[in-house]
Amino acid sequence: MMDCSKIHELLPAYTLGSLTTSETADFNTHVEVCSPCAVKVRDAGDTLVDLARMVPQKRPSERVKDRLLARIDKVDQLVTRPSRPVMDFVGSLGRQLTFSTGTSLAVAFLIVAVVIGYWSSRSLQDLQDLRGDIEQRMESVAQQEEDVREGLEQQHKLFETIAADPDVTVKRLSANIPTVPLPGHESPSGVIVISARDSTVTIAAMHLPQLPQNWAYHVWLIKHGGQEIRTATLTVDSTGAGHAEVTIDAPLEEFRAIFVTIDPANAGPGSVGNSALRGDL
Amino acid sequence: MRGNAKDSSVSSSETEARITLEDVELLRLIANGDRSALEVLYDRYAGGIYSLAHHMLQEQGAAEEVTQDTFFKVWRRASTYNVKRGKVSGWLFSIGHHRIIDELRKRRRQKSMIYVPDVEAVHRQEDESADPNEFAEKRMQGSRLRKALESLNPELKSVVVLAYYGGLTQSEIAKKLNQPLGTVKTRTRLALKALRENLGPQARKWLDG
Repeated sequence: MMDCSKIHELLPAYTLGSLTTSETADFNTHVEVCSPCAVKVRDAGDTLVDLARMVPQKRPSERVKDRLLARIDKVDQLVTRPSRPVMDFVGSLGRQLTFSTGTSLAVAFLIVAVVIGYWSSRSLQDLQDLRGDIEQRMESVAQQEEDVREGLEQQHKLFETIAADPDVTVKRLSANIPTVPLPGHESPSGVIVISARDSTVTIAAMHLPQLPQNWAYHVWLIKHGGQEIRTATLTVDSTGAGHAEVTIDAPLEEFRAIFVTIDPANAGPGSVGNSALRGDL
Repeated sequence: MRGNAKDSSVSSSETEARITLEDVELLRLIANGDRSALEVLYDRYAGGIYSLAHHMLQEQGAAEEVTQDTFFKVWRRASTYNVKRGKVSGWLFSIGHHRIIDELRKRRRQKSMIYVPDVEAVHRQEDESADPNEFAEKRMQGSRLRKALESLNPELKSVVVLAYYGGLTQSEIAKKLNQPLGTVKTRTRLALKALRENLGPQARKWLDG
């Protein structure tokens, strides 16, 4: 992962849009979590707008706006009746949401019972400690529910992409090595959405275990000759759902597979870790 | 979620009611599925995005497609905008510029050619606008901005033009100019610094009227 000095070095090129795709992905990953660097990027935004305004001003024809609104209408209609593969994926996340809501109710009921028990036998300090624990648990449950909602939102966006573009294909991402899931957990899986028109590959995975600090899920594209190209880091939320979008600089036909590996966050040019997921392109 | 989103027959009065809103407010409404807010934001910035796309891609059809894609992304991603990361205009132009660069790089891969942007062409083309007042204002504004670019040392200017308007990576610029990569990086940094000084807050305030 890039550090702040690297961001400082690359900021001018980032502002002008002259970084490569993988550099841009690494740059954005750092800026998402680093407030001082985010401020520098914000300050550079005005220059970007000024450069855009230097060119002769023209007006797009009215049909561009009409097509945009028609495209939005089409997607909105389709979103109400998604196709089966996406429904399966969204449905799975939906079940997690239901489970989370049930869990929170059960936790609340348990807490009330425990509080009554403690009320008669413990000191005020004990009760205060317990209240802290309860608040932490409830915060944790609320965070999980929020993550699931965001996951659902991302899947809807993914579906909009699929619905809006006839050049899009969807492929399965499955566990690369036999894994023994933890009790109550399923094996990692996901989908790859490939847009030939935009040369983008979107990865949406689920059931990914949380990693220790300084480790991350890395997305690799594998060329037919075996060359590995690291493209992005998968952002994984508390529910185990991961998402990444990669723009490919070379023709899609040059690539045969995509891998998601577990490597140190600041991994070098080659993977040294385990491969968690793979999908054929 | 956009589930309860919008009525496709949004009245013009709803659109008019949003014309005076700030960009941030419009984006907040768009994130909630407000189509008329998107129309107002489109009317505000579509010309700028389309002009940049037309200048860089040199093709009306491609410029129209990029403009449409940019605002479609705004519609989909409005909820991800973070005011701490900068103004809406910067966010929007960043989406548009990246989309144009993707298109340029795709063309270069397919045609094995490098489009060399001609910033001088700026002076040979005319601004277009249906409104004569808007036409005059934009022309004057563009002229001031172009002067800021023209005032740069030619070596610095060429780096900005090749990177921003040509979509070339730093390595490609180094190869094209036959200069070491480090030199290109230094020139890029100096060029942006000089541009920011030429277009400081006072100049920008004047330009924004």
